[in-house]
Amino acid sequence: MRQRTTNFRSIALAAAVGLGGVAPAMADSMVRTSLNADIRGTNPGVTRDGNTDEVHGHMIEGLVTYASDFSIIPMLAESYEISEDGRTYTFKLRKGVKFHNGEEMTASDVEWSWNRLAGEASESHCKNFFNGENNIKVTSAKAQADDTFVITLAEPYAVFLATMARFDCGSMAVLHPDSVNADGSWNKPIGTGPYMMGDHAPGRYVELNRFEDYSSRDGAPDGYGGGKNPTVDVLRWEIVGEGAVSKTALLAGDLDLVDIDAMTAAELKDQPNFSVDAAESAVWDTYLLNSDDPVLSDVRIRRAMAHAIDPQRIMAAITEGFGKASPSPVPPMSANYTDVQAKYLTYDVEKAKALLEEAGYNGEEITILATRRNGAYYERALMAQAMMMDAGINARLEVVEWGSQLEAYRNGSGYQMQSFTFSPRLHAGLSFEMFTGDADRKAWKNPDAVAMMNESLRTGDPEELQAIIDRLHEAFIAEVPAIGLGHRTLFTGMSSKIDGFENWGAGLLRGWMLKVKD
Amino acid sequence: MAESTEHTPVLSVDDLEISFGARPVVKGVSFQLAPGEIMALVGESGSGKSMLGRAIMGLLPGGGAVTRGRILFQNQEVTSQGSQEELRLMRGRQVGLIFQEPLSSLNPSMRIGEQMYEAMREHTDLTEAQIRERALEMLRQVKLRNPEALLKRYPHEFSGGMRQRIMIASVMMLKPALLIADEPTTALDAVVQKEVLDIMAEVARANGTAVILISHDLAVVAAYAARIAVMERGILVEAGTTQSVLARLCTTIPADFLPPRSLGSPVRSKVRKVLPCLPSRGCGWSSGKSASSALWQTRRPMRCAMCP
Amino acid sequence: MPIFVLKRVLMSIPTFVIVAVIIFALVRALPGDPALMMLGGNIDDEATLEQMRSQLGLDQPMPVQFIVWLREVFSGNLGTSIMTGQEVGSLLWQRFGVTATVVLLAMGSALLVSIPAGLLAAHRHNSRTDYAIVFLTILKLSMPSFWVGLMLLVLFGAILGWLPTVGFVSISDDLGRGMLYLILPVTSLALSEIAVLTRMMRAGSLEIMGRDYITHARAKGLPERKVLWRHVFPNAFAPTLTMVGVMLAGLLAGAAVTETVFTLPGLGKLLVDSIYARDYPVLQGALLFIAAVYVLTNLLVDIAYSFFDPRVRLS
Repeated sequence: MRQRTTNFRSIALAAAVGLGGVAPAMADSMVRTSLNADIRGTNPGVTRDGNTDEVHGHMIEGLVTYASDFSIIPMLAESYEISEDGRTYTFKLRKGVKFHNGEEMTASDVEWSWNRLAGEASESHCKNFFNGENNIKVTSAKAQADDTFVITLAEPYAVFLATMARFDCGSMAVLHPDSVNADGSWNKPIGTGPYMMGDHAPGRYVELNRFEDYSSRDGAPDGYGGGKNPTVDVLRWEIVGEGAVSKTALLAGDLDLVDIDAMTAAELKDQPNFSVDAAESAVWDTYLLNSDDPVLSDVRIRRAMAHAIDPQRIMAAITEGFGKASPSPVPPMSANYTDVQAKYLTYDVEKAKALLEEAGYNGEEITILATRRNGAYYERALMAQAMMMDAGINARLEVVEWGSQLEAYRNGSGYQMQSFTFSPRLHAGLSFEMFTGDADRKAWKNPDAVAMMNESLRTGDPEELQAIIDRLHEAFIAEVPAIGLGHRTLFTGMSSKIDGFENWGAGLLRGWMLKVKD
Repeated sequence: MAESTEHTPVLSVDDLEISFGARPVVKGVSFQLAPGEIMALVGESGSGKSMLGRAIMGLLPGGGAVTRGRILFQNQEVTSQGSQEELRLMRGRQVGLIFQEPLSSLNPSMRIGEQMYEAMREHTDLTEAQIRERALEMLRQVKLRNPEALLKRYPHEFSGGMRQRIMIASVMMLKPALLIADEPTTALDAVVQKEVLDIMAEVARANGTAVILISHDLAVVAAYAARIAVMERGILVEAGTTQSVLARLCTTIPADFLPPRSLGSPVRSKVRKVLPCLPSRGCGWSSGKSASSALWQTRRPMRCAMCP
Repeated sequence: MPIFVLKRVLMSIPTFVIVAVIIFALVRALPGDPALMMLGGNIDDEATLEQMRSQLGLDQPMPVQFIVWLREVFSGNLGTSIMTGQEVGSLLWQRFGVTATVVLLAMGSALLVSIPAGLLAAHRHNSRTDYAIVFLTILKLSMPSFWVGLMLLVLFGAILGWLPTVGFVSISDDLGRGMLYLILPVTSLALSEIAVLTRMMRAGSLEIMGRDYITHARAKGLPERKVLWRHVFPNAFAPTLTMVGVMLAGLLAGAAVTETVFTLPGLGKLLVDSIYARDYPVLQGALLFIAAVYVLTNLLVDIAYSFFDPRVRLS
């Protein structure tokens, strides 16, 4: 059948050529993938969102980035040194790194780029990570020599480098100053990445072209860093709003590589001309509990809920058997994930019932907020509801639109329980920070927990960090501010002509690893 | 025009039966019509008179069919005519049809001129200019003023009487040998009714066209017809010269309905205002000038020997 | 006629002012915060959120926001998109071009099919042809259009491989290839329209066929073809035309489902995306634009109606 398909396709193509008279140049190798929405713009760290970061990530690089195990490795920096007091970071730049316009990168470009994002006049949200609004305060960031860039902090802060490497800031992208017009307005990204900006037809597609003069690090690719030796000439993201459509396009051979859901993965797995990649990510699927709620303020009720819910079964169901439960907020690929993080309140209906009785639970309604967005928010909530009902909890499902749920999340009110998801946090301390703190939206406001969490972000000592993370996890299980489910399995469907694809915890596509077979 | 002698009838209907399914609506009807002759075909609604008219055109509505007998038009059989195409060519060219409802018999979305030209284009080889000239001539014949402007206008811009005159002009343009006028004036008020009938009779006479004047209102049409046929429940119950039929039905024609002398009405008797007789009251005198029509509809005509 | 058009356009101005107020109020009444949506729920700190809100002008009081928007409306560019920074006016115009191409082609082909089909069904009333046409239209009407679109994509794109499944090429850039990308969306949209319009046309024709002037047209000796086209069609088409107007306005306002399935960068997709992203300027601009599309389409239909039915006077 595939053979026939190919024949018809060539007829259609011939017809297209005959009609239009213009055939696309086929000499360049191309990988076609999809995005569910258009990129917001081409300005890294400024006009961005999750989709956009993935595209930007091919064009730009920063001084440091994340390795596969989420440790920090140098990227444009050859190496870096941290002073004794932990306040001064000295970056030695790699030599001979070229921007897309052919010019060589110098420390003054790094300084210019830093100020663009972190300076007072920055339009980027990234400046708030370095101006003292959120713990880290950078007092100076200067080029010291042509190949040396120095950043000084007001106080030492352990996650400073991890913050620099953030994807939403393009790893504090180093750009050539010509990226900006004379009047200060944005022009186009002139970075150092393995791909450069190509065609962008708004609402239709984005293309990146391979950067011929890319200067790669030595060694194998590692996370978002390491050696990058791009071979595919053109990366093209088609904007396809509907998953069923991108799946059809993959089957038709109009797309080569597509994010798919679990069901499609199960379906494609055994088809001869396609391959499926399933990888555990650092995306955390969870149920947030509102401990301010009169019913849920009793920890016994929250524990009963945790015992009533079986994360193994739910994860198996939403991943078609590909994924498994990992209830800790710390992702399994993290260096800080140990036996301690593997512990959780296991599924035990009898225990749940006993706890409910002890707490004097009397059939009060517990509402689970969910949305029908991609990511099985609804399915997770539905299964939790069924399981809670089994344990005698009067659970009710409330399905709202994503925007409304997000508002409830932000205000920390208007919900009792909601099925929620956090994007990857690549530092164990940040994995707790995402739901721990004083802000309204944080589910865990216990001052002891907040103090521990803050401490985990400050310490530079790996052993101390591990100890704090372990304590945090124990407290997390005891207090149940949220019921963890697992770290999302990401599925990618590919045509068999694609080679070299590897997913990783952050889930961002690394087009430079791809190869097209003849 | 086809050559026709005094002795060849233009239309000859012989033992005709029309049925819808198994139900006959016209049974054993026979009559003949001479060239240029005007015959009135009267009967209450549902008597089958309209179906008879449709059958002559070969335009019975869906489900209806001639089940016995035959219709000869100029010695050619309409009922068993080989091709629909021949029948179609006969329509309009040889036989014209005018309907009772002037408001609905003209296409509302088409200019008068277009509607008049259509049949001419279909049936003749005349040029557009000749057709237009003929249309204007016909409009003058039906006494419509300013015919040039009229051609460019739409039906809704005219009154019922004017529309019926336009219909007459349109149908008579081809000088058909036979005109079937199905209740041509029913929807009009009495004064206009007479105007239209006068014009129709005049135009028919001028063109040598035979007319079957179908109506439920004997009084209105009798004066124009040389002969009258009365239908009741699908059967021809009365047929003969106007004089004899009127005498048998004790009916004369109100003065208002008499055609102008120039037309030479077949009814020359002294006028009395007499209505069709009623079983309960016998024959009665009419008080008004146009009260007649409703009565025929509700009461069947009686042969009343006891009338004066 | 020009006076009629001018009057109608002037009459619509107060409508637009009211519509603008309603749009603004409704959009702001939507739950959800654009700044929050833009950060994708990953709010790391309040400062970032506040910064985003002030960049978007959302920290201003409502009346100020309304006046700012009105000023942008009158300047013609309708503001800039929160999501992409594009000028809303030109964005809408671009997207509308795509939608209009697909919708007009679909409507055109739908009319080409449904007018003869409806006339034929009516002409052969209660025949096998008639039943077949009625059955097919009911069948199509009972199928969800998203599903039909996807099935077309699977059949012609994946199984047969005749047509592309994703992407879009503007016909103004490359007519041949552009048409290739338009075949499926136009077909999908046209199928739905054919189902509705054929039924309208059939019902209309049946009614007209009972009129005296049709019998009269036959009595004139016109061939059946001319009776149908010259006499039945123009009169039966008037009610269908009203339906065409309603459908056309709705579709020009964005055929969201079709645009989503066939990855067309059209107005409907833009509207849906802007709702999800709470992209206020785009959402408000799109709604106002759609109101204008409705007013204009209705005007055009009224003009066309007077052409088919001379009894309707334009005044």
